[in-house]
Parts: sequence; structure tokens; C-alpha cells
Amino acid sequence: MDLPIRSELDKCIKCGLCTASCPVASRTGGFAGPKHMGPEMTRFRLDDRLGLEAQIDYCCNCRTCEQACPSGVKISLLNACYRHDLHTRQGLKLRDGILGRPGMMARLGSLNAGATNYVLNNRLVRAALDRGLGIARERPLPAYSRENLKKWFQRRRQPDSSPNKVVYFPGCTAEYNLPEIGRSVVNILERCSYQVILPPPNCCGLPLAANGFLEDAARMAGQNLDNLLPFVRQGYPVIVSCPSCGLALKSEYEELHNLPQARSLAANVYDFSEWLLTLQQRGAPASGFRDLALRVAYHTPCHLKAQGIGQPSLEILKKIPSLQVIEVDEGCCGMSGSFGFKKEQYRLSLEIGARLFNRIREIAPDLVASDCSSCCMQISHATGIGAVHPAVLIDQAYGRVEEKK
Amino acid sequence: MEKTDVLVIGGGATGTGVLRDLALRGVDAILAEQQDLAYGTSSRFHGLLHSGARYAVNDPESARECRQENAILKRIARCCVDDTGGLFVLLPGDDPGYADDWFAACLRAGIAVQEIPAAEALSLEPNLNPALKRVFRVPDASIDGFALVWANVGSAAGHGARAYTYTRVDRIIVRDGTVSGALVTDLRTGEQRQIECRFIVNAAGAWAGQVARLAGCELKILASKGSLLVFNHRVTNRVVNRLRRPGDGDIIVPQDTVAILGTTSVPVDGPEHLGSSRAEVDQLLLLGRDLVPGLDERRVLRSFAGVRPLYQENGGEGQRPQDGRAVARQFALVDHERQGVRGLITVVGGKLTTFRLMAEQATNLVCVLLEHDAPCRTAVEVLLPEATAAQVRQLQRYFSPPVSQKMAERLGRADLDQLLGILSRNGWKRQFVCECEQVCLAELEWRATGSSWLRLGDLRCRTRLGMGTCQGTICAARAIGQLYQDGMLDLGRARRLLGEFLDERWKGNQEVLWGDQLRERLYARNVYLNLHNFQKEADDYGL
Ligand SMILES: Cc1cc2nc3c(=O)[nH]c(=O)nc-3n(C[C@H](O)[C@H](O)[C@H](O)COP(=O)(O)OP(=O)(O)OC[C@H]3O[C@@H](n4cnc5c(N)ncnc54)[C@H](O)[C@@H]3O)c2cc1C
Ligand code: SF4
Ligand code: SF4
Repeated sequence: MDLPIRSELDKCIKCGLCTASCPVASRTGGFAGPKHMGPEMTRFRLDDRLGLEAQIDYCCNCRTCEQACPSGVKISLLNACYRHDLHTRQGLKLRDGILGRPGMMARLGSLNAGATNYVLNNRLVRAALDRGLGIARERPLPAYSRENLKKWFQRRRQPDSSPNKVVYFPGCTAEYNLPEIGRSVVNILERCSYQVILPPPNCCGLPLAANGFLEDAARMAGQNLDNLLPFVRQGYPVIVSCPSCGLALKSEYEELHNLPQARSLAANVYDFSEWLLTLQQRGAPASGFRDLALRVAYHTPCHLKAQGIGQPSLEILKKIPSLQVIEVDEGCCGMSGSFGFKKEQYRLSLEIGARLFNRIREIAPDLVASDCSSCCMQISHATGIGAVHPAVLIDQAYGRVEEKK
Repeated sequence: MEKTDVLVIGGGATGTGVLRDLALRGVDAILAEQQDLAYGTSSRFHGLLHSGARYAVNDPESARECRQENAILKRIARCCVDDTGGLFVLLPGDDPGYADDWFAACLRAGIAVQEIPAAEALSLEPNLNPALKRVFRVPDASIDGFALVWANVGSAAGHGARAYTYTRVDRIIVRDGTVSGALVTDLRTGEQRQIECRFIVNAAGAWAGQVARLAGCELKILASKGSLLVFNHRVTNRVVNRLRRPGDGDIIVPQDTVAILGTTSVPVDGPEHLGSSRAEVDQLLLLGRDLVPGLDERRVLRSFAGVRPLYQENGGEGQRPQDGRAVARQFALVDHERQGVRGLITVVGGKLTTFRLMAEQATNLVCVLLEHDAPCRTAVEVLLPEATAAQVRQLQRYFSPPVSQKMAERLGRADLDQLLGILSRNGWKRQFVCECEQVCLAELEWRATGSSWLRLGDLRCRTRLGMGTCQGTICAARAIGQLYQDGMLDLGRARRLLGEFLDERWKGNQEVLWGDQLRERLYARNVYLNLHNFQKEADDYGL
């Protein structure tokens, strides 16, 4: 771990572009920004006598800074190591441990989804979570689905096996909270004549790393490598529908956890829309789109930007007849996965996204589309306008009607 | 005409040490330094507070002196010492027999040396060469030469001593074979004046030969230049020495936020050879990577060199040692009476680690000659009272804990009071001028107000402004702008000072321009030439 940090901080030329672009630093004086917290404080931190700054918790891990940096400094890597050091020295918070493990919580929650959702929406329960754990009571919690993706997948009659196979890594949200995303992805992939393989459900580990649990995150990453590499070796691509999972699989396993073979996985991971767009460009059934008479505002999630693959969802949505797509180019929504759940950061999280919300209210669309379900949660919560994953819209455009259960 | 009992020439560790010792003994004294304090070798050195281990085999006397002074300074000078501890590392290929001799010699010199398992060493310092054979812990530490020199002067001033900077001694006045004063030039104004005194202590380091000559005395000083490299970050948290017969490039010293690798040893003609060559830089990098693999790929911020004054007892008659290290590093105390000048003594050589002992012996001699009976107190009186816990808490109202901690260490109790005063009046002065080294506006203001002759370079040495990663790119313009706004400079002077500062930073960068540091310098060039439109100054200063 030690050496990569040192070369990262040596790359910095101190230009300050990262801090100028950080959505958090520009909203609060409590956070000095990525230049200070990253390359600057890392130089101080190498002196092991010195204390650490708790303000690193303000970093919402959006990685806007890394895209701004002309020197290619992996600021989030420095930040993740800093957070880890801070938390190992000061002890980790139970709350952050819970927020860092969406998959585990979801497995518990889904055991009896109805009851869990009921309990989690109870005002008294929320007050207790707020006081006891520091989870903001104003923040709606994600509901757990009665039927997770895996159950649905197993229940369905499998279509004839096709010679073309893809592996779909749904991550926690599409597995437990919003399996309709996963269902849409599977439908579309199958429509493109692929046989879809679902690996055992597992978290990508990014929320753990973002909350300072580096060892646990690395273990998670190791499990996923074990699950996915056999498929990669057979030449199957791995598709993700969550931009954060994508970022973890594409870069974190190698850069942050330094895991052997992470690179060969990374080279075969594709964001769902990235993959679909390539298929369409190669002549796959783009033509099959039906009319979808909707006004949709599209928001590009930070973690999708960080993958450097452009805006494939936007491009696909634009091809849907009658669908009016308006891009909202107003930066980070402020939610950043677990960040916006934290009591001390709830208000800040909404302030960060204020410009985005205002713009969306101006546009007044029927729906917002965004690849990241955490962005979707935040946007709906702040604007009252429904927000969905583009896959759901694309699935509808391909003519599918959500089955009734 | 100004009068005093003793005039001390040279504002390095030795001279300021003598000044403090005299002042604590109640002797009236003045110090004259031709440039700013610590202009000489006392800032152009490695920063190692020797435990003595390095000299144990070759020079046991020096080793014992170092051991004693190391312990004393850790007690009285905590404001300038970072007690990192040190390691001696035996690498494959180096003589294993030497390690045993060295270990025995350390024990004989009373140095607390302890062998530790290789695995433990690697967990303490994960960047060390994993092939290392044996590792020993010693009580080495890191010492800040700038801070030490100012602390000496601050303490001396508290006891009535005066120190003049930018004041060069041009002539020593000798009447009837006895020193009666000196003619000095104020380099800021060009004015000459006379200081009347009964004794002169020549503590001019590598310039000591020239100073002795001002009184017509002969003093053979050999000059040996050593080059050093400054890395962008602390490569290790402990001093790391290569366990072999002392040679080039075999020590890494952590200093604040950086690490210093050195040194070379090249005979030179005089004290003004302050540059290091590209060949020396390459040589150091090659040697350094034996201790820390990949060290040659880490970013180097600058190179610099210092000159060791090596005293030669009987003149050395024209011969030059091939390696300055062969000459004993003990110091010399010379009473020039035997050359026919009463009242002039020279104290020279030694190491920064032993400055206090050198000062003590010089002061003893002065006191004997003055027939002034007072014991030396420099080994027991704390140099600079440390910041209190309450002050650190107050600082934390403005800065984060690590930044507060660094500031408190850098400033000490009295200066911190001033700083906190400024901050309580103007909270916004918590803003940083120099982000790399975390120097805030309030600190800049306090240092600038305190100095009689403002130069950015002097502020740099007092605050670390511009010493970090960007080497002044961001902070130099900010600092000058602020000083101008505060009415401390006029426009012409502001431009001159900025040019001079950038030029000085640039000189140390010239030999290390590759990779990230080259990118940084190109960025700096664009900031100053294209953004600040600094073309005229660049032409004037040949930047
Ligand atoms: C490369 C190198 C590395 C070293 N590393 C270490 C180390 O790690 N640890 C250690 O303990 N020691 C080290 N040393 C040795 C140590 O730095 C010196 O022994 C010590 O700093 C000498 O201090 P000084 O006060 O005697 O001389 P200086 O610091 O040189 O002071 C002499 C001063 O006299 C002034 N002066 C000269 N002429 C006049 C004049 N006419 N009028 C007024 N002022 C004048 C000069 O400007 C100068 O400031 C190192 C030396 C070198 C060269
Ligand atoms: S990741 Fe986002 S919040 Fe964190 S420092 Fe970078 S830009 Fe700021
Ligand atoms: S943008 Fe990159 S190079 Fe510039 S200050 Fe930030 S980390 Fe350093």
C-alpha cells in the first residue's frame, strides 16, 4: 500500500484544479478540498507522530477531482488510505459499518421485506436510528423488494441457451432494492441474443472502502474476483448496471486493493449502456424501439464520468422515438451512496445537489433518468419527480410490459 | 561607537551558541553575521543529530562527544529536534565483519545500540531494501538548523545580547598586539561602522581562515563540499544509515515533510561553492536506491551543497586529503595569542551536533581571559519554551490537529502567543499562503513584522514558506501580494524580492529537472510568465 501512495503524491503539481472542481469544498468551509486532503496532507501524514484530520469524512467519493487533475493523481486512492488510517486509529463507527454493507443489510432486510420496510418507515424507529446511529431521519431509506433478482431469475423459464454469453453483476441495489433494474437489464441482454449468467449475489465493496473498511472491501473484492474470473477466462464479458460497481471492478480492485489479476477482470467489465451502445453500433437491434412519449431529464452520475466512457445511456435514450431527453449538466447530486444518509451530512448533501435540483425543477420533466440509483433516490427526494435507471426506459422502448405479480 | 565585551563573528550554530553561552553567563556580547542567520553550513547540512554511531570506528572521540551532545540537545532543544531514532542497515555485499567491529566500537563509546530482527525493521520502515542483512537501532535524531540558530539568538537576546544580520566584519582592529574592535559594513545600507570590544570569537566556519586573516593571523582550513538531495516527502520516518565505513550517499534523514539524502565529499577552494553538479546528483541517486529501492524514481525537489570546514593543525602544508572524511571531525579551539594577537580566538570544525560543546569550550576560554567566573548553563537551560497544551488547543480553533501540531512545534511558546494574538484580531489570517508547508497569513505577518530587513528568502527560512512541493510557485506571489497590501513593501521592492526569491528556488531545482519536478517547473514558468506577466522581471533576473 505504501509505495503507490508515494508516487501519487509525487505527481501533484499543486495547481488546485481538483479543489476548484470539488462539489463539497465549494459548498462548505468544513472541507478544505482534495488538494489539501489528498497530496498535501498525505505528506504530513507520512510523519507518523502527527494526528489526522477527521474532515476527510466530508469527501463524498464522487471523484470529480480526479477528472479535473491534469497530473493523473489518484486522489481517491489517497483519500481512501487516509480514511482507513483515520478510522483504524480512532475506531470505526457502527453506522458506517452498516452503511458500508448494503448487501448484508439487504439480505437481512429481504428476509421479510414487508415487515422491514414497515418498520424502517416508522417515525419512532427513524428517530431512534437518527439519535442512536446517526442516520438522518429525514432521509427516505431504500425499500427492500419482496422478490430479489436472483429468485426472479431462477423462477423464470430460461430461454434457449445461446452461444453468446454475458455475466451480469447486478450489485446490491439491482439485487435487493430495485430488482426491476436487473430484470430490465436481463431482458434487454436476452433480446440482444445473449444468455445471461448471474454470479452469486455480492457487494462490489466500494461502500466499504468509502467508509474506511479497507480490509473488508479488499476481501469482498477478492471474492468477486474468484466469482468472476472463471467466466472472464472463458471470454465472457461482465456487465454492470451500477456505475459505482463499475468503478470498483474497473479500477478500485487494482488501484486501491492492488489485487493480482484485477487487471484482467477490469479489461472485460462494461457498463450496461456502454455495452449496449457498442452492440447497437455494431448493428444490434436498435431499430426495435417503440415510441415512448415522455419528457426525460438525464443526469450523468459522477462515478460514470469517472469511468471515462462518455454518456452511453444518453446516446441510447436519444434514439428512442418520441422520447424527449434533456441533459442536466449540473454536476454532483450530493448523495454519493452512503454519504447522504449520514445525519451530519444530510443537509450538506442536499446543498451540494441544489443547482441540479433547481435545473430539474425548471425542466419539469415527466421523469428523471440516471444510471446510479443513489442519484435517483436523491433527485426524487429533493424534487419530488420520479427517477429511474435508463435500462428501465430502454426495456419499455423495446416493448416490454413489466409483469404483474 | 557601540561597545561590548565580546564580538562573535558568524551567525551559524557555533557563533549563536557562543552568543547564548556568553549571555547566560552574564557577559555582554554582540554577534555579527554577514548575511541572514544560518546562511552558512548550519543550514546547508544533512540535519542529522548524530548519536555518535557514525564515528564510532574512525573517530571514537567524536563519537563520545556526539553521544553526550545528542542527549543534551534532546533535552534542551526539543523545539528543533525531531526524535526520530535511527537505524544502521547492513546490506548484502557490504563487509559483514565491519558490522561486528562497529557494534563493539559503539558499545565502547557508550552509544545505546541495539540489534533488531530484519522483519521488525521492515515493518518499521517498509521502504527499506528487503534484502537487508542486519539492522541496529541507535539514538540518532533529526535537527532543524534554522530553528536551532534562531532559538540560540532568541535565548541570548532574552539575556541582553545583540545580534546583527547583514553585517559583515571587514577588519579586525588590533592595537599593540591586542584586539580592540572591528570595522563592520551594513550590507543593506553600505554604511561602515566600528564596534569596540575586548575579545573576538571567530566562529565563521568555512570562512574562519578569511576572518583570521583580517587580524593578520594564519589559519589552515580545508574546505570540503557535500551535496544533498531533498525528496518531496518523508521517505522514511527514521534516520537510515548504511552500515559500512562512512562513504557517499549513505544517510537518509527525515526533515519535517521532506527527506534528505547525502552526501558527497569533494575538496573545494573556499566556502562559496554552493552548487551541486549533475554528476553528484546522479551518484547520490544511485547510492540511495541501495538503501531504499526505487528511491531514484521518487521526486527530488532540489539539490544543495554545504561546505565543511576542516581544520588542519599544523597547516597541512599544501597537501589536500582525497576525502574530507579522512580528516578528524573533532573541532579546534585556537587562541591566536601565539601568533601575536591577544583577544582573538577561533572555534571551528566539529559538527552541528557538537556546536554547544564547542561554544562551551570557547566561552570557557573567553571567561578565563576576561577573568569572569561563571559556570556554563547551556546544557541545562531549555533553549526555547515549548508550546503549552492550552496554546495547541487554541490553535485548533483555527487549524486541524496535525497542522496545529506542526505550527506549535515550529513556533514555540513565545512566538505562538504572538501568532494567536494576530489570529484573535483577524481570524481570516488563518488562510494559508503556503499550502505545501501550511504557513498561514498570520505567521507570515508575524515573521515579517519581526524582521528588520525583509526578504522572502529569510521568511522562508523562518516559516518553511516555499520549501515544499511547489517550490514557491503558488506561495511566492501570494506572500509578496500580502506584504505589499500590508504596506511593508513598495512596488519596486516587491518585484525585486519576488524575482530574487524565484531565482533562489530555481537555482536549487536546476540539477533535478526530470519527471514530475520538470512538469512542476514548467507549470511555474507558465504561472509567472503567462499568468502574472512577469516577463520583465524574468529578463532582469535571467530567470
Ligand atoms: C554537507 C554537509 C553535511 C553535514 N551534515 C551534518 C549533520 O548531519 N550533522 C551534523 O551534526 N553536522 C553536519 N555537518 C557539519 C555542520 O553542518 C557544520 O559543522 C556546522 O554547521 C558548522 O557551523 P558553524 O556555525 O561553525 O559554521 P557556519 O554555519 O558556516 O557559520 C559561519 C557563519 O559565519 C558567517 N561569516 C563568514 N564570514 C563572515 C564575516 N566576515 N563577517 C560576518 N559573518 C561572517 C557566514 O556567513 C556563516 O553564516 C555537515 C556539513 C556539511 C558540509
Ligand atoms: S472525491 Fe469528490 S468530494 Fe471527494 S475530494 Fe474529490 S471531488 Fe471532492
Ligand atoms: S489537480 Fe492534481 S496536480 Fe492539481 S493540485 Fe489537485 S492533485 Fe495536484
